[in-house]
Amino acid sequence: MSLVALSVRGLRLYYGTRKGVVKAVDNVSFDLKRGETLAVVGESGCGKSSLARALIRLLPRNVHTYEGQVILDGQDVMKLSDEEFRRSIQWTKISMVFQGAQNSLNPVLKVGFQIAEPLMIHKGMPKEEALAEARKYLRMVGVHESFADRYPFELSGGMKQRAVIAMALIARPQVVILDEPTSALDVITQANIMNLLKTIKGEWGLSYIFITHDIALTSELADKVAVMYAGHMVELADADEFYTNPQHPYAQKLMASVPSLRADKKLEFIPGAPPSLINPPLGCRFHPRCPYAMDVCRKQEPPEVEVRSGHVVKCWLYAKGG
Amino acid sequence: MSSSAGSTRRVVEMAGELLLRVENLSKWFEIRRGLLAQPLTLRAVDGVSFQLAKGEAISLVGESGSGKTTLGKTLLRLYEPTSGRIEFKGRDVTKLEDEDLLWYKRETGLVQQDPYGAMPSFMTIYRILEEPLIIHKVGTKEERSERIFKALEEVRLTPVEDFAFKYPHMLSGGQLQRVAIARALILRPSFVVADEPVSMLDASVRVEILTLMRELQEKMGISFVYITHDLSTTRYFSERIFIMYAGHLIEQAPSKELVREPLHPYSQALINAIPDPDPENRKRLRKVPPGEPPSLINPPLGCRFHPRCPYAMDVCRKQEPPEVEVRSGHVVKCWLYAKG
Repeated sequence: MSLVALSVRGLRLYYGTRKGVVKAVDNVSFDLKRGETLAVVGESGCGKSSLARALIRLLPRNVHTYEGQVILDGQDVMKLSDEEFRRSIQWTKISMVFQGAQNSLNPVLKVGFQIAEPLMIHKGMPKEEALAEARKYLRMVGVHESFADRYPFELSGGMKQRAVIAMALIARPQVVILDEPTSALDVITQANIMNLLKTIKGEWGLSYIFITHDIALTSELADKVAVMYAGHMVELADADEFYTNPQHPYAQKLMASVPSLRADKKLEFIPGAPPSLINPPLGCRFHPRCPYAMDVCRKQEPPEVEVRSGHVVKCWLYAKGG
Repeated sequence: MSSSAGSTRRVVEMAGELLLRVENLSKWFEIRRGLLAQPLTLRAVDGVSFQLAKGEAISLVGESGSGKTTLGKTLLRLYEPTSGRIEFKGRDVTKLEDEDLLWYKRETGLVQQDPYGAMPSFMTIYRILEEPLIIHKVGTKEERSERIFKALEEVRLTPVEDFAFKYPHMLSGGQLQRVAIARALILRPSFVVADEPVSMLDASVRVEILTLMRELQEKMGISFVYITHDLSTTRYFSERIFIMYAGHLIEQAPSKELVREPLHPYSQALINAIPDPDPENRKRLRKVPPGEPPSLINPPLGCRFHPRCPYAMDVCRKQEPPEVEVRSGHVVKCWLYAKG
């Protein structure tokens, strides 16, 4: 087994709509090590959730372009057919906790059965055995195993969230995508869920891709932070560096807009709105909102510059001799 | 005042002129379960007392189901209070009717959480803003038009001519919330409740809308109740923070003091649970109580937080805690701070 759990190169996901092609994920590359968490942040509509869908291949019907390399555990899974991917990768190697997970449980099926489903469907495990596993996992995420025989409406929001996490873990994947895993929960429940995710990560050596717009929350899990803007990954850095010293003007603005409970700081906001992904601005997609925009930013797409080891910024400000 | 609180009657020093005095306000809902079954009582708001000064902004913080929205709507007389008293500008408004109630509605405003749901989709922005003026018979057609354009300018939807004749679906969430704010302020109220006004907006837009609200609130001298579950924004936009738990108001304090030195064990947990962006966070677990808030149909006896409280004592399980003013303006409803 290699040290790198997931390696993504030049990933593109475009949707075809009547108005034109939506470039939701545009040429995204990154590596994720074993046991490492990558947080993906950005405003809504910047392509975070599309990136998740591209990785686990849960695509809508109107896909226009879907290409690039996704190397999972040494294997380029983009070469697999949909059927092969579903059988050998989805849920068993990479799984996902969905946004609004509380509503992603089927209301007419018992909780235990739903948690066991990935084992039965993707691993072909007999029902009895899978249900026993489901109880074990339910206990592990801190819900009494008797809840396996209950229906989702009998569980509280926090318990449902834990059940959905159990479902994502049960087939022992190496990579788990968390798409806004606590967005509908109260802060104390959210903190409890974060504690659970931290504990599991530490014990299993799991890799998470943690997608959220809540930057303060990312610091609960992230070893690395990626900032997405209009389909591009504009910055990728280690957590220690990102929170104290973000480099891309968008990332800096984003950090300045995070309210802090304890520190005295002046809050800023980013004027304007993210651009349409159908006709994104030429050059750097952030240039219409960027305080440092130069001539070149309006004309040419910026290069990805490694400002320090492992810290990549897609911005002309950091391009040497450019 | 709550049943057991007679001993520690409190007098909160007001910074300015008093606008709103709320005493022992409760709002209970009856839940009918079939024709013959005994109806259940859901105690959404139970024995809430506080005062609000003119031009003051307070944040009302609590988890979902803590009763903060019900309290907000009861204050505006959108719900009938079950018991207690609301005094506004020295006048008892708890039971106002007809013309008098219309006066109170003119003096108050509401900004709701979901701007999409709060706007009739078939009306233009102009018509939406004109509606309250027509209902309250304000001005002539020309005066109304002038007022509407001015309101749009105040919330910076400029050029105003562009926005006035658009329909809600043509605006972004942030722009719609500006319309909602303009609508809440168009009758020049002196008291506004904003119920989670930014929770459906993007993080970067939130600060923008909150800043705008704060500006208008200060400029017009409006008293504001900002209802939110997001404690991290409150200190930027209000003078005081009120914390609600399971229908009770459990702590009131100046914003900075509450964040720096929360007294109620629940407030402490709430503040512990909120991360600031710090890479060290990932290396430690947060100290937060397990469990979830109780049902409001059969809330726990005594203090409603006692089943989750790390300091719960015998008395907490039996008797409702008194409201204790620990420092000037810092009131906490907890047995830990009761003398004797």
